[in-house]
Amino acid sequence: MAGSLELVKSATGTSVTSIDVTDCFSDKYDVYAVTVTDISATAGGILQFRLIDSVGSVISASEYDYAYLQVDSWRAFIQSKATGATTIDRLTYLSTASTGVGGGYHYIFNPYDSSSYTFTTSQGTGWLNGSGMIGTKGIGVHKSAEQITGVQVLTNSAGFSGTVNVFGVK
Amino acid sequence: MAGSLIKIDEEIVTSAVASVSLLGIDSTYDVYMVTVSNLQCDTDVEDVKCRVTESDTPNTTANYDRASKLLRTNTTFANQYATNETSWDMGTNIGTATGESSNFVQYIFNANNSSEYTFMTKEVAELNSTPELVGQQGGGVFTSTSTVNGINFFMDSGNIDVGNFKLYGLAK
Repeated sequence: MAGSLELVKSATGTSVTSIDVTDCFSDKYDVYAVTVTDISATAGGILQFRLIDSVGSVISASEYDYAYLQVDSWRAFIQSKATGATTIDRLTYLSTASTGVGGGYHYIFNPYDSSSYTFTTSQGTGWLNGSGMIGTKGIGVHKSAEQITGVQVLTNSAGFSGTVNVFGVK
Repeated sequence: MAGSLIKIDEEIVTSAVASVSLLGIDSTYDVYMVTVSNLQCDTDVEDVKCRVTESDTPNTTANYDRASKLLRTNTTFANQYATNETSWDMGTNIGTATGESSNFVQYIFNANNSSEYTFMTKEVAELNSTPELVGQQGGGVFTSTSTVNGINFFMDSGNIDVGNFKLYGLAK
């Protein structure tokens, strides 16, 4: 029985506030892996996550719930959670240090199924200048039963550079 | 370095079943991955459980240990841990209302090696019966040096109504 992790689509941004990967979900897969790599930034900030609907619009309504545990190398772990949020937080922290390039991934469940909610799990790692490693272990849900066709990785900071790869788990 | 994800088994549930087994773990791969998406059940407020299988039969002995961080959206996160249980917990208080389901990825280690325990990691996202987004980040161990050939999923009570269950080997 053949199967694989298939690269569906990639997008790269340079000094942008968001990177969209459109038309990357289909009924071919139930589960996707979305990786975010080669991250750099000119200012500190966080990376967040949104979904793109069936007409190609980024969903920015208050339809997301999320929770994540932030596991830092120099202090006690931090819990964060929200309901009715406009993004799924937080994949990783943006560092301006050239040696502090982090990365992370989301697993996305059921995005193309218009009868189910879209769920995510995530893990990320990054660097906070002057402090150390920041890690995240998170979950999220988009609480609207609709067809999702893409993802947006965005930041609350001035901008970032990076690559977003979407893989189908066949 | 070449590598790939090889699908070993797949079960697509569209009507009520008491349990789902994904079989085919052997010595071909060292690490296996399980994905479960859109798992829905027919009885409200029940847990998702799983056991390893040996010769296709679930092992029901009290050899399952687990530990995880329970991520929650309406209250403080919690530590969950237990030893010598008869199954692993993969989801808590799953509901039956619209949108409520469990979704997770597991990695399984050393399963077919009869001289080592079987370990697994898990990351779970579910909408429970509240409904509240709840997740688990953690792992477990099956403390028996047996030859494991698969994994079996079931509800604490009632049936699995819907779900996509897939087992992959991570090719070297």
